[in-house]
Amino acid sequence: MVHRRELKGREILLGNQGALWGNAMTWWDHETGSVWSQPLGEAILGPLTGERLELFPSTLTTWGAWQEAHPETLALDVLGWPTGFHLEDMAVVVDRGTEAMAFAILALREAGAVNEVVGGLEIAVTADPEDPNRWAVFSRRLNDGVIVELTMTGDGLRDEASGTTFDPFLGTGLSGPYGDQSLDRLPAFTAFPSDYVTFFPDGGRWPAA
Amino acid sequence: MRSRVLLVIAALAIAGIGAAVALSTDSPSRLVPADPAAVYDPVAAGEALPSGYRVLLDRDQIEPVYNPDFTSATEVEWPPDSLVIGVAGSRTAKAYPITHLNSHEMVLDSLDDDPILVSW
Repeated sequence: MVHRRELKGREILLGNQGALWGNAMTWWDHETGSVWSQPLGEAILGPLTGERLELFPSTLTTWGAWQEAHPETLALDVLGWPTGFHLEDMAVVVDRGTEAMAFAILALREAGAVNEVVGGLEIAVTADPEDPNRWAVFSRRLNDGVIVELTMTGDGLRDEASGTTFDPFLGTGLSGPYGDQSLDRLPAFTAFPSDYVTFFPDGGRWPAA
Repeated sequence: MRSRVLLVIAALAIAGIGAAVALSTDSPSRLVPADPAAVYDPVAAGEALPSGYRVLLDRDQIEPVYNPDFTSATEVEWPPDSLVIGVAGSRTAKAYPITHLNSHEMVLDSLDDDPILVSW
């Protein structure tokens, strides 16, 4: 729902009180600290108790229908990522403690493999173009300080410089000079982009917005 | 647009002007949220709570979007069947995807000259 943030002609700021009343959210206003009920639009605690905010006309509809009705509409810039509750819209999150980065699965599947540095560690993230559930995160460091740069090819994950190939989802060496080594798998998880920004507000994103 | 805004913020910070200055045509003035701890809290003050009032989190632990950015409809790839809250004024229309409101719950914004709060 949408309310006019105005009381007696003055603009007010509201925040999230973090409490429920009648199983609905409550707000706090930044000036008096009064607590407001969302569904009523009315202050229920504090100096402004009994004051009401005006409901503002709004529509709950599909993005397609809204765009058709309002072709010039602006869109909230969420991440520059696709959104919606679809698996392909999730992101693979690599949390290295000092730094986190989220990789949009849809773009990952197009890229096949992405080389990045997160929390000081050279990593690669791989994804299967056919299966959104199939992805992996590896360290790109091999023995003796060798760092590989990986691309997805028909023969596997390939380091052009050395000509070594690895299994794209297991990391085991397949052929080439470093084929007797394996890439170390790193822990990662999937999350919706909107949840990622909540829990990792300073986290990096690939592709960059 | 995001990078341009960040550059402007950086420039302002260097100039020591602060961020409470117009940054873009989308948001004519940036909102500066108050420190929740510095504002009166009726619950902490011991006011009688209405029945069914349940404290779950701290104020703004789920942080509202105080200064939203917008982009054109052609720049986003939201599924056509995904839900949005839409508002339309005399000059501007805006859409807020429910997926984003699910995690942030509140967006403080303006539509034309009207200050609004979008909540979910």
